[in-house]
Amino acid sequence: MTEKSSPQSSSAPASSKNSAPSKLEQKPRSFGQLALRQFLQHRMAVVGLAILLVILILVIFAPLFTQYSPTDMVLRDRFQPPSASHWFGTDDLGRDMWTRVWYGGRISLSVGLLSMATAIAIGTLIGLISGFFGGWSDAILMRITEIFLSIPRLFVLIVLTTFLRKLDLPWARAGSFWPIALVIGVLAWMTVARLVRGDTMSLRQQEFVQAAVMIGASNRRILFRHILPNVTSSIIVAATLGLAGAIITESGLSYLGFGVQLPTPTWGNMLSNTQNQMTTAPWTAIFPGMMIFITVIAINFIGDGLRDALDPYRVERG
Amino acid sequence: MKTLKHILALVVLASVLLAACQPAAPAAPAAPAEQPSAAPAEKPTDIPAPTAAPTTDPNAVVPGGKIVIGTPQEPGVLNPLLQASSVEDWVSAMIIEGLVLVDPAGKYQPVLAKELPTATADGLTITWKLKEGVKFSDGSDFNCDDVKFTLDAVLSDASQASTSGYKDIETLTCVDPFTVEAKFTKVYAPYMRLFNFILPDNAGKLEDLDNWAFNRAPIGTGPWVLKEWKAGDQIILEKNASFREEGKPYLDSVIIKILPSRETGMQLLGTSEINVLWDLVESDFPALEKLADKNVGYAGAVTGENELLLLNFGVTDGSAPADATNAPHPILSDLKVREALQMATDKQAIVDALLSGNVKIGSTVLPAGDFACPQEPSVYDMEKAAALLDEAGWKMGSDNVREKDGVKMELKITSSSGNQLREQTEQVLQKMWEPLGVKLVIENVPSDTLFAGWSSGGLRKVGKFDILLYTTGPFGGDPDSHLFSNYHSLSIPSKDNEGSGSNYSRYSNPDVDAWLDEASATTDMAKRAELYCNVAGQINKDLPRIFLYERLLLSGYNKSLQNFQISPSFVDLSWETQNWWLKK
Repeated sequence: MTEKSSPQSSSAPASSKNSAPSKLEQKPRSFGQLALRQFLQHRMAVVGLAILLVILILVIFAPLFTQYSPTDMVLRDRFQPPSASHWFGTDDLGRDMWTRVWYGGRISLSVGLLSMATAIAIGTLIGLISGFFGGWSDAILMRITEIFLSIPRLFVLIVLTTFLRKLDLPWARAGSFWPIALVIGVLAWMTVARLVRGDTMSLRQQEFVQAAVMIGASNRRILFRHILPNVTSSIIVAATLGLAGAIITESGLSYLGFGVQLPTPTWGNMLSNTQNQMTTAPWTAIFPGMMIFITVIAINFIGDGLRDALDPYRVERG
Repeated sequence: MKTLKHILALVVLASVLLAACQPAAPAAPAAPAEQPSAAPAEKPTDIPAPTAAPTTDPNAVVPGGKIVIGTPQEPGVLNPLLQASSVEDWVSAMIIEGLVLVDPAGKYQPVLAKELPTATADGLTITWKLKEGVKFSDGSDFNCDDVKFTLDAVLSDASQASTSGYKDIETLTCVDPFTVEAKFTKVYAPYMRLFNFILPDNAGKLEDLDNWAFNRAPIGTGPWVLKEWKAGDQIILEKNASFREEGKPYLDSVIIKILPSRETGMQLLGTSEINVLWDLVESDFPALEKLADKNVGYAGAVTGENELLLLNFGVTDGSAPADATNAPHPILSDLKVREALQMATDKQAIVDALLSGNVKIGSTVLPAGDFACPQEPSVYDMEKAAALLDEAGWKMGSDNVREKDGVKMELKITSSSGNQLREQTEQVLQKMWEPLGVKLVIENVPSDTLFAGWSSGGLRKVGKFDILLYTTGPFGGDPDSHLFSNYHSLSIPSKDNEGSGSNYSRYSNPDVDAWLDEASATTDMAKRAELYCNVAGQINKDLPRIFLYERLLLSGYNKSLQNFQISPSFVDLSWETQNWWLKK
């Protein structure tokens, strides 16, 4: 769907049905193929993707890679340095750090994905409406966006999280990552909205949109069938970059004690527990810190690669 | 070219990320090597060797030398009338002395008084005998006039000092220059704590207190005189040549060095750049142990406080019930449940694991001092605990959580977030109570939410909690006010008393009330001790609180410093500093 309605589809018509591989000549390829090729040429992006895949596998199948539970403590084995039995050492309560890092990744990555999904849903909708209709709806929506952008984020995060917890909703109880993920998402949609708005405004002037208007397509159809598929590349890029930001925000909140409650491990709250033992047990800080760092870097490279790969003009030239 | 660009991008990214981490995480582990540049600009040179010690006895006192005390906080003023933080308290205690102070064992000792004050039979007249021949560091004599001036100063408008007890003094008369007699309007039981600082009567005009030069250049009878105060850097104290004890203080000077953080202090202690690091906490024990081979040790004093679990007897909807019997907690109002929880708490295991076994397990509300009342420690017995819960009607459910009349045995434990030791304790308790069928849910909140006052709806004040984990106790001597405000039924915060009092358990026992009332109406120390001990015993029977371990006031120091002791009071490490000396 994406490829068909893209403005470039005219330059690469129908050749996407390449079920019969003809190696005779380097003939035009589909947008998807070109994008993939472009992405694979971006070496750092490929490395990032590989790293992220490894992390994802370890995180999703965490129980398969460890014999310990993330909450079982052996108090006489506190602060064991990395060894054969504890690859990442043990923490302040004698729990296996290797296990906790992967279980912690579950929360940290979930928070990242969920908050990004929220941010994209809100941001895309606002961006589309604002960019397509223009006029006073654009003015109002963009002022709202600017207001959100100008609010100090951490402060609102703290207030909102505390408020959500006070409501005592069953899904927002202590230990749940839902409230924090939603709150981060609700405060992260502004960049997406602005990007989408800009793209929509320029797409609105394109011939294929004008044509759709001429044949009497409804606004909804134009927005979601013609314009939305063409702004996905911007959205994907913004999402990867925002994902990294969300993981860091969760770490910050956990560090301040507003994040996910103990004993559920997250990379953030694992880090926050290490202030006093930096000199005596550095591994308790190094491993969760390293995971945040590596993940964020990997995701950023993937986003970088995607931006290059999905850039329509670049594809045309390539 | 392209790779170069990528590497560059990576470096920029990394630095941006690190920078982004910074504000959220003040001590972010991402930047361990970064020591604030404010670290000692001029390193305090190490203790100069005293000129040729002729003595052969290694334990003989070698006078001379200087020591450096590191503190992560800086005092603002050094005037007991205006002081508001503990760092100000102990620094000024090096310069200014009181009539009676609390010694390292937690008992009252006469300092500027010749002996402990005495009370008449009706408890309304207290008499202090003062030491003679004592001089302030400016050369003026210490006598009854200074005590009188201090009383006026405490009661003056600008003073921030607590007037408790002082305001009950009807008249203060100087029988002779060295005998002070105070007549009270009503019995003030903890009279020993009065006059724990004495100001010289020439300190300044009381109406002009805020502008006294004294505030940053205090004058007292203590062993040290303030020589120089470089704000943000250090305070230099020199020996008081006219100190009342001949040949003392032994040291020539004491330097109080302001450090950027406690962690920096630990490092400086390891490299002997400071001799003493003020104010450690129990969670610093692992770091201290690592420095043991560098001759670093610690001095601690039992403060009288306990790290404890505070159990709520009333409902937890935030309605602040003044009477828990009409609105009982669905789980914790049952004594058998509370007994079971205490039995399932392996206090010794907590102390051994989290505190390296360096503190005593909690067993009484009065662990130290003149009114100490030791009690039998609770027994750890899981089977008995389970039997108690069975007896109370709590049956084990299929999900391994007990249940009674459709109520799950799920309890929230709340503390202020960010305190590592408490977070550890909570998680250990969670595991300890799990086999008992008690589900403990950790729900920590920022300290201002927890400790906020009545009008701001502080969770503690309005009773919106199941179990609280924090520290309290009679700090610094007399337990009178602590016991009253924590265990008397009049101290239950509610609408009626506008939230005053700290009886957050909503605990009420007529016997305890009666004993406390009787004790605060007499100055007979033996009688009071007996009454307080009754209270302590009853608390352990009723269990509004489970005492986990006794808290310490801690400071780390290099063991070459002799006679370094901690007083479990505001005096802290400044106890008898005239006796400090450096052993080679």
